[in-house]
Amino acid sequence: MGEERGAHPAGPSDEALMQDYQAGDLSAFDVLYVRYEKRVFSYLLRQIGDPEAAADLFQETFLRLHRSREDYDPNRSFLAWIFTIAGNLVRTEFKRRSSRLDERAETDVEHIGGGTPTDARAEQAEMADRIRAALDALPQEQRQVILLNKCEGLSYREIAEITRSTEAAVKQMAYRALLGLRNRLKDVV
Amino acid sequence: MDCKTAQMELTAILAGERVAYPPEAVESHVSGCADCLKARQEMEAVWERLDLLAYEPVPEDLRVRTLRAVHREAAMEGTVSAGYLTLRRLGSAVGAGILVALLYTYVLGQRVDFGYLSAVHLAVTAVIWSGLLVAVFCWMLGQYRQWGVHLGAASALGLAAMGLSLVGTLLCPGETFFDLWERSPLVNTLNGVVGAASGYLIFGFVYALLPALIASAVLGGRLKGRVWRNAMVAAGAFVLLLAPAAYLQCASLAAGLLGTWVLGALGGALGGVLGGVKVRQVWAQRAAA
Repeated sequence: MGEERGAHPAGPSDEALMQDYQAGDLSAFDVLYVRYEKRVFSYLLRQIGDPEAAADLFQETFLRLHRSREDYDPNRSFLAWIFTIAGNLVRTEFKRRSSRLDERAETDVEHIGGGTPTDARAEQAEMADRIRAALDALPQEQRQVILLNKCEGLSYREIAEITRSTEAAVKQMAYRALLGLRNRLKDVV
Repeated sequence: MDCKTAQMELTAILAGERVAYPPEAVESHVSGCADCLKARQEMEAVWERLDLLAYEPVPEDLRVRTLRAVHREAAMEGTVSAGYLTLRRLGSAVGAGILVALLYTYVLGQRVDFGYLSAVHLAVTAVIWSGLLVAVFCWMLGQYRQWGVHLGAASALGLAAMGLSLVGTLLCPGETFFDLWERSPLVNTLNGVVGAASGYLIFGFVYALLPALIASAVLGGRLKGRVWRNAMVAAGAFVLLLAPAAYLQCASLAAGLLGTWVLGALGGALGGVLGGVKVRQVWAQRAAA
């Protein structure tokens, strides 16, 4: 996930910004928004698949963050908190239209990534497409664990809190997810 | 160690997580197992390839829409948190407060005889009660939040609990409850040990507990976060709203007994709100599971 993954931005910590925001400094929200917009949007898009629905959930995530800012405990990781909000929205969305998303989860990965790469960049882009497709084909819970753990740097414990699960269950899920990715990407690894 | 366990541990090692087995034990298995060696190579390759995923750019219109929505809400809150309600909302709060006080008194009057109170007593009680209700409606219409307390939600909960207590009074008036209570052997024992006030303490506790529990289980969703603070405000609002009704029913009691009743009600209301919020959480967890 390129240049930003796991990076600790310069300036005040997220938690300090949240405290300023709780005290009424709206500019602190703007800073947090800039720090997290791509991460949250990417997470939602990969979880939901549908750009329009992801956009709606994206807006709702930040609105909920705003509305529940006073509930935020500064001793807790902001990263885990914002992904808890986004994760809850994803869960609700999945419940709402589970049948459609189940169909999507069954999407065959073969249709993506065709063509002959003409140079290294094209090859890399093709590989990224293959990985995205392989991720898409994972069951939603497994995809969530990989996205939060590998892409967002959250620990199993934090993911367990977000998914209302146990650390052991998350560990198992991560294993299965990686197994699934291995099977789907066997020809390129 | 079997292959599945070893590979699960390898996944955890890749993720930088604690492993359940000593790393040497995992290494010992993997180095002696062709399948796991191959699996490790593939897992590492996949893990590395995941780095190729780039964050998706946020469409400009979505960024503008989102920031505008949050800023708009913040601006609206700013108006309210300044402590002012629009004249229209204030009028609505006053109207609703007086209406509820009148309605409650009328309904209660069908069941409980408080004709023994002087007109002055009744008028003062009505004014205090209306004032409390107006304040509650102001909080609700303003949706104030202070120190992590959702004043609007807490007062709405208090109001709902007060309504439920009225229903309870109509279904099972205090005299009936006390008749049953005084015949109970437990009460005789309690009265002997603690004194007659114990009955009022427990009566107040139960009288407030049940409505607060039900109201919180249904409406307590917005009391999350600083639960204790929110619960105390909700319980306080409920008992304050209940106090005039209790006075109308129990004005003939000695002040000590009435005080004991209120004390019990405070405890019951707080317990009910906390219990209701907990019940709600358990329901939500079960629903999610």
